[in-house]
Amino acid sequence: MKKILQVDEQILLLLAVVFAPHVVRVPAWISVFCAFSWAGSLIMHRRHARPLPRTVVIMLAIGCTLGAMFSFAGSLGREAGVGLLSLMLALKPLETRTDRDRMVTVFLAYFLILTHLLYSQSLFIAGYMLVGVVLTAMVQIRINDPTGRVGRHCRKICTLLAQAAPLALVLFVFFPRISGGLWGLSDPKTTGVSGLSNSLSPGGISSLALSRAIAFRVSFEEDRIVPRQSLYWRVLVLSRFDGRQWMQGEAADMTEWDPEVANPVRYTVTAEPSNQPWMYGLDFPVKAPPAAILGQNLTVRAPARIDKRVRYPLVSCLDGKNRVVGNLKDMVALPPVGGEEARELAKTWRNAHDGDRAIVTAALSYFRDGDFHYSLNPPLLKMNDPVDDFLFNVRKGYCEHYASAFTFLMRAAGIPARVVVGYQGGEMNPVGEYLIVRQSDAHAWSEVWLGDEGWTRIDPTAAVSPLRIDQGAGAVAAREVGGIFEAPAMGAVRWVWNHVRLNWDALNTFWNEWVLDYSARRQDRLLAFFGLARTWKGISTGILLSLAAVLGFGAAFFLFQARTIRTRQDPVTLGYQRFVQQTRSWPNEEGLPPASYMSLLMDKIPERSEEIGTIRDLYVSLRYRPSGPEYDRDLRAFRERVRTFKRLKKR
Amino acid sequence: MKSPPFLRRFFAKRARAQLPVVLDRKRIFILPTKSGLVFALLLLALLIGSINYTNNLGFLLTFLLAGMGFVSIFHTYGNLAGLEISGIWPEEAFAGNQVALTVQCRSLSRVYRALHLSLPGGSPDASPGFRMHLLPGSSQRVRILGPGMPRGIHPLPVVTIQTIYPMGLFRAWAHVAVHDDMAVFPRPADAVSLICREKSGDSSRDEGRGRQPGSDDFKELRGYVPGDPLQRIAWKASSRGTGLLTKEFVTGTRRHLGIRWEDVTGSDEERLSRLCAMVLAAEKRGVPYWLELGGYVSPVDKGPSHRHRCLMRLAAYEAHAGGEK
Repeated sequence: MKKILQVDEQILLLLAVVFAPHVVRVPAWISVFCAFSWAGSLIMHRRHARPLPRTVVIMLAIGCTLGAMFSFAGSLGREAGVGLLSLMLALKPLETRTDRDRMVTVFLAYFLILTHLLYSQSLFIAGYMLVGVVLTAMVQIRINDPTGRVGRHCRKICTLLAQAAPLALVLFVFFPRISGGLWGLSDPKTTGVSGLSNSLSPGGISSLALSRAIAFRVSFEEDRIVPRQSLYWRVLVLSRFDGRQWMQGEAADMTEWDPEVANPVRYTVTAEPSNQPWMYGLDFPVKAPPAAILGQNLTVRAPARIDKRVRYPLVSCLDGKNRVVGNLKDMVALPPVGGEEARELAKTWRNAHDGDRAIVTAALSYFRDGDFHYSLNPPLLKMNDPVDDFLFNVRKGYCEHYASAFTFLMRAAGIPARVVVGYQGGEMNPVGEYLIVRQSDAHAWSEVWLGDEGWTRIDPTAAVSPLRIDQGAGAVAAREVGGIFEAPAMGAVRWVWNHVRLNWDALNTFWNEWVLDYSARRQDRLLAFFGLARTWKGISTGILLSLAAVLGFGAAFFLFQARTIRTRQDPVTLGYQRFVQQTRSWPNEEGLPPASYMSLLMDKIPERSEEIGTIRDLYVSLRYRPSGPEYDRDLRAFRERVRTFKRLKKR
Repeated sequence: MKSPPFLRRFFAKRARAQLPVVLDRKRIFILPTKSGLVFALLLLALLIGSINYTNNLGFLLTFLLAGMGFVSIFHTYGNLAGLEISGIWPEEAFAGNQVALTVQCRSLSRVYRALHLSLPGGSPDASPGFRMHLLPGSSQRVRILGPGMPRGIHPLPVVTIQTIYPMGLFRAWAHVAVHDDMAVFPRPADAVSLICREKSGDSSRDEGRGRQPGSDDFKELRGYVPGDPLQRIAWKASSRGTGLLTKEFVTGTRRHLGIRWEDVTGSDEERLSRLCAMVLAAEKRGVPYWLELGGYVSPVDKGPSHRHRCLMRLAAYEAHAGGEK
C-alpha cells in the first residue's frame, strides 16, 4: 500500500485558525514559513504525494531551530516558546503518516491555544479559545471516526463540552492556586498603557479624549448616587511650574489623620493596570486603603506600580473643607520669566478687588466672557511663552490649558494655587450598578487656598464649556468630531448601541472580577466561607475537593449510564440473567433454552424443583403474555421470586 | 485489541456465554490508549504553564480539556454498553481460508456508536475487522473476517468489539465468546478424479434407496395424484377398476459416486482434503454420492444438507483430539 501524506483540509484549516492571532506576534519569517508549509502540504495532499522523507524533515527542523536561535537570540521567554511551537506545527503536516501523527498535531494545536491566553485573557479571547477547542476536538473525533457525519460529531463535542463544563468549573474553583507562579516569572510588563502621565503639558490630556480605554470602575456602597458635578477623581497634584510644564512637588505623607466626616462616601475602585503607583480617589479621600499612602496633598498612592488589575476600598468626603495646608510658599512660586502680560493682568485684579474670592470670580468671568473656546485640537502654542500666547492670542484649548492658565494667574495674583489632574465624571452602568471611568474622562482643574475655606476646587473649564462637566468629554468630542450617532434618526440606534455596550462592560467586569482575579487569597476566603480549613492532614483541601469532585462526578455518570441501559433492556431477560447467576454451580453447559434449562434443573435438584418450577412457569407465561396489568403482576412476581432465590449449592 | 496477559488468562477461564449477549460493565474493559497517555502529558504541561503564568483562563482551558478527557471515558464505555449481540453465524470455512462470521448487533441505548469488530490473531491485514456505525435503537448485521483455522470442530472464535470513539484517548473493548461451535472443513485438494462406481459394496444401497424420481426406469404403479402428467397414467391397469394409476419412473439408479477413505492416499489430512474436494466436485456435478469414512457410511444423496452432513463428518474426523495432529 502506497503511503500517502495523511494530512487533510480540516487539519490545515484548524492549524490556520489556531495560529492566526500569532501572525503578528512571531517573527515574520515564521509566519511565512508556516503559510508555505501548510500550502505545500495541501498541494501534496491533493496530488496524493508521499510524506517528505524523514531526513528532509530533520534537516528542515534543524534549520528552523537555528533560525529560531538567531531570531530570539537565546532568550527563552514566551515569544521563543510560541515561535518554536509554531515551527513544530509548520513541519508536522509535511510528515504526517499515521493517525498518531495527526493526534500529535491536534495536541500541539491545544497547546498553541494556551499560548494565546498568555497575551490576553479578555472575554473575546475566551470565546476564541472555546471555538478553538471545539474545532480541534472536531478534528480529533474525525481521526477516530473518519466516515461519520460531521453534524453528529459536532453534537458529540457539544455534549462533551457541556458535561465537562461543570467539572471544569469545580476544578477551577478548588484546584489549589499558588500565588506568584512556579519560577517567579511575572506577567510581561504591560507596555503602552495609555493614561495620565505625572506631568502636565499642553496636549497631555487632550490626546486621551478619544480613548475608550477604561481607567477604573467604581461601585458605591449603599447604592449611593453621587451627582455628576461632584465626580472629580483626584489622582495627582502638580505644584511646580517651569513655564511650560506642571510637575509634582514635594508632599509629605499624612500620618494619623482621622478627620470627622459628616457624610462619608464609601466605595470600591477596580483599577485597570496603569503601570503607575497612583490610585483613584473621589475628591477628597480621607482614608487610604490598607498599605496605600495618603499624601498631604490628599492623593492616594500604592507602595508599588500597579501592573495588574487591583481593587481597593476608599472613603471620601465630598462637601467638607480641605484645610490640610501644606507649604503655601511653594504654591505661589512662578518661574522667573514668561507670562509677563498675564502677570500684569493678575496685578490689575489684585488692585481692583479686595479678597481672594473676588479675584477668583473675576478670573472665571474673564474666561467665560473673553471669547475662549473649548477644543480637542487646539493650535500649538508658542514655545517661548505659552502662557501669554494662550491667554491673549489663541484662546482655544482643552482642560489642561485652562487649568494651567488659571493657576498661573492665581499665583501671579498672590493666591496659593495648584493644578489637580485626574478624571471627571464617568458613565453609570445600570446593568452592573457601577460607574465606568474611561481615559477620555481625564481632566485637569485648579485648587486655590482661600483662608478659612481651605483648598477650594475651581474648574475653569466649566466656565468655558459647562457641557464638559454636565455631559462629559464624549459629548464635546462627539460635537466636534461629528460622530455618526449625532443625526437625530440615529437616536434609536444609539440607544440600542449604548445598551449593548453597557451590558458588554458589565459582562467584562463580571469576568474580570470572578474569573481573572480569582487568586490564592480569594480561594482561601472561599474555603473559609464554607468553613473548610486550608489543609487536611497536610494535604491541600483544594486537591481533596478536586479529587472528590472528579470521583463523585464519575460515579454519578456511571450509574446514570447503567440505569438508562437497564431500563431499555427486556426486564424478563434481565431477571433470567440474575437467576442464572444464582445457578452457576449447575451451569447450562449444553446451551439449552431457558425453559428447558430450568426443567433440567428441576430434575437434577428435586429439593428445589418447586421453587424453580414457579420461576419457570412465570418466565414462560411472561414470554407469551401481551403487555397489560396481568403482565405487570406476573413480572413483579417473577422479579420477586428471582430476587429471593438462594444460590444453588455446589454438587 | 489484545488484552494484557492477565486479562487473557482471566477470559480463558470464563465460561462462554449464550446469545443474546448484552455488553455491560462485567464484559467491558477500558484503558487509555497511547494517545490518551500523551494527552495526559499535554494536560500536565498546560497545568504547569497555567500555574507558572498564574493564568486563570489557562486553568480554565486545562480543566475544560481534562473534563472532556474524563467525560470521554464514559462516552467510550457507553459506546459499548447496552450493545446486544443477538446472533453470531459462522460461514462455511475450509482450513487455510479466512474464517468469516456474521454478527448481528442491536443497540439498546440512545447513543450513536462507532464500533470496530474483529476476530483474534493475525496481522491487521489478515483480520482487518469491520468498522461500523450503529444508530440508536437500530440493529445491523456485519460480516467479519478472521485468520484461518485448522480443520476440526472449534468453539466459535471470540469476537472482539472495540471502540476509541469519540476522542481516541481511551479504548473500550469487550470479548464475546459464545457457547457454540463451528466446523472447519478440510482444505479441498486441488485436483481430484471422481471414481464412478457401479457398486458400492452395500447391496441395500445398490437396490436403489438413493434413487431419484426420474424418467429412465420403470419402478412401480401408484395411485393417481392430481397433477401427474397424462402420458404417465397407466390406462391399461387403471381399467381394472382400481381407480387411476400412475406409472412411476426413477433415474440414475446406479450412477452414484462413492467417496471412500480407502480410495485416497496420503496422510490423514491429505486424504481428508482429497475427500473434501471430491464431495464438493460431486455436489457441483449434481451426481448423488455417498461417503465412507472411518466406519461410517452415509446414504446416497445429494443437495446442500447432504453435502453439509458429509463435510461435517470430514471436519469432525478424529477432531476430538484437537483437529490437526
